[in-house]
Amino acid sequence: MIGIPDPWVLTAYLLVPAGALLCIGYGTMKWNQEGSVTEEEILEEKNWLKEEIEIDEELSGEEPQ
Amino acid sequence: MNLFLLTVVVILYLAVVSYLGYQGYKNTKNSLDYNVAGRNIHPYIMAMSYGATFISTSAIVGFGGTAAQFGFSLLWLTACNIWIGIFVAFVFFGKRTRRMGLNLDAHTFPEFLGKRLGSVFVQRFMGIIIFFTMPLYIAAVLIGASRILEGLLRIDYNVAVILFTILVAAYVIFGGLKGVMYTDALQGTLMFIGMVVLLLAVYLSFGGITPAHSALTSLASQIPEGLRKIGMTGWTQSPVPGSPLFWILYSSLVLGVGVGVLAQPQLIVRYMTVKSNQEINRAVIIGGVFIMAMTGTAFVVGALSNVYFVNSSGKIALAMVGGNVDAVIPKFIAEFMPPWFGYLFMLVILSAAMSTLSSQFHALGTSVGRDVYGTIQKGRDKGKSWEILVTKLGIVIGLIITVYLAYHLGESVIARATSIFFGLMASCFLAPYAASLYWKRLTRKGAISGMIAGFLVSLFSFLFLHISESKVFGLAKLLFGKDSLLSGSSVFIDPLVFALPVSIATTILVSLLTKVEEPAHVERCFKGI
Repeated sequence: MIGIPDPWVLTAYLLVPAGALLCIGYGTMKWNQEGSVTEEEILEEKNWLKEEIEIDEELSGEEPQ
Repeated sequence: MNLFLLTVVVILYLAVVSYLGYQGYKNTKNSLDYNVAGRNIHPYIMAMSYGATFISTSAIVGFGGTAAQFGFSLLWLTACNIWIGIFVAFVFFGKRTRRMGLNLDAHTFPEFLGKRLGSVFVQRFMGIIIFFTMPLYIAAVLIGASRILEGLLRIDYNVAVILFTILVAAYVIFGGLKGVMYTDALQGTLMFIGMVVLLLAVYLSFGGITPAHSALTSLASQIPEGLRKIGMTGWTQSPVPGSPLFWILYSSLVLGVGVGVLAQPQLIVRYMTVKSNQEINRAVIIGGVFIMAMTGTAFVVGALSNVYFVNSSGKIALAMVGGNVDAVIPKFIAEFMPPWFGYLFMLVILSAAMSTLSSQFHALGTSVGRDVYGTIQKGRDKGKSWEILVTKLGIVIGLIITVYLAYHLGESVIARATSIFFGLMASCFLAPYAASLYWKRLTRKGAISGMIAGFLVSLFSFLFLHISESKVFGLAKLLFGKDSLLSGSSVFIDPLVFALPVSIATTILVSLLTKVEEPAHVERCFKGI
């Protein structure tokens, strides 16, 4: 099939587009799921991002704001 | 190739990348609330950033060349890249890492595990291992990029290494550490276009998929004697089971890199930057398609380059480059594709190398600055400013080690150096990392034991079992009079095959024999999961 006589190698070749299809299918099915976040999570994330920016500023030698 | 035109194209490209990096950084800084409330980090950017960091010149040039040598069997690695490196990584590791990283306020992979386990030792140990082994992987990426410069510009390899190092150093210093994800998205897009064009051009020129593969199958009689002896039967055929090639291919390249990706510090950080699991769900689509276009194309084109070279010069790819597999893809691009594609491919390679290198240097610098020095200096007044200095110093030392390695590692080393690093990361950290995400019963002692057991077994294998390294170190010969304590083709079994199961078993056993140190802390880690 498709010029690859060894079934083991052919399986690998076919698993490549099959894997991509799996990813497309999964992502499409779950497109709008798991998007909700709690107030608590927003607060945690805010602190996280703030510290991340401070680290970036420290690394670039600027004073944290 | 017109050097002037190429220089103009590269400078233009660097200007756009720098501008995007600056914009990305500025926007993040000025719109903290907007970013958080709007949750507007697009899944496209997250997936492209992960993909562009994951796929480097090592994958395209090094593993592409390896595919020219060993054939389509290497496609098992592409299959693993998609099924494990994207699907399992995003869905089963990414989502939990994101949430737990948020709970723990972690910024690096060592910090993540250190805080999850409540152990500064873990953070320092990981920081040290990453700092001393990552230059090997960075060198692989640098060698790949330099081989492309050598092949397309026809300049000396040693000059190419220096040229590329200057380019990358400038990039990392002038904003490579900031707004990286935005530039990654641009670079990922360029890589995607370049590789799809290359794949189409190759299949079309050989008359389609089936004729191209059939032509490759018919070359089996031209396999060099050396490769036939280690078990190669054809470019579209599997190696002889149990042969040296079988172990090199499946244990080092496919398993080492295919599974090792799950414990890569520079990739794990990416999960922690997305806003919700919804973005991860959407990013799975882009990630899967992107990786198929990257390593899928590199390996198919690498193998099929044999058909082109035999038709044009009567020699297989390996013979065309004097045995240096790292030079196959650059030579093929230079000869097979029109000059304009050479320019595009230069940008693809620049993108692939820079997006990976910037993240690697970031991970390298923070491993010593934040994870080692930062944890020692915590609480002291002058700690913070010194931490920045140590991070920057770490990057400079890493750069020097990398350039040294790029000069001294020799030929045909890209794939090997990459798989050593990936395999080592998985051997030491995969079991404790996976258990941290899924097993509340995991104890600090269990995780540390698993980590150290994985490291020691890897070290022992490198010194006494796996002949590629044990022969170089020479300790086995000195103590036991032979290069490896194993015999036959088992000397080619990758250290990961021994180290990972030992690490998993030790993590589980020691955890079961000890008590969870702080149950309340574990509950806090799992909050929202």
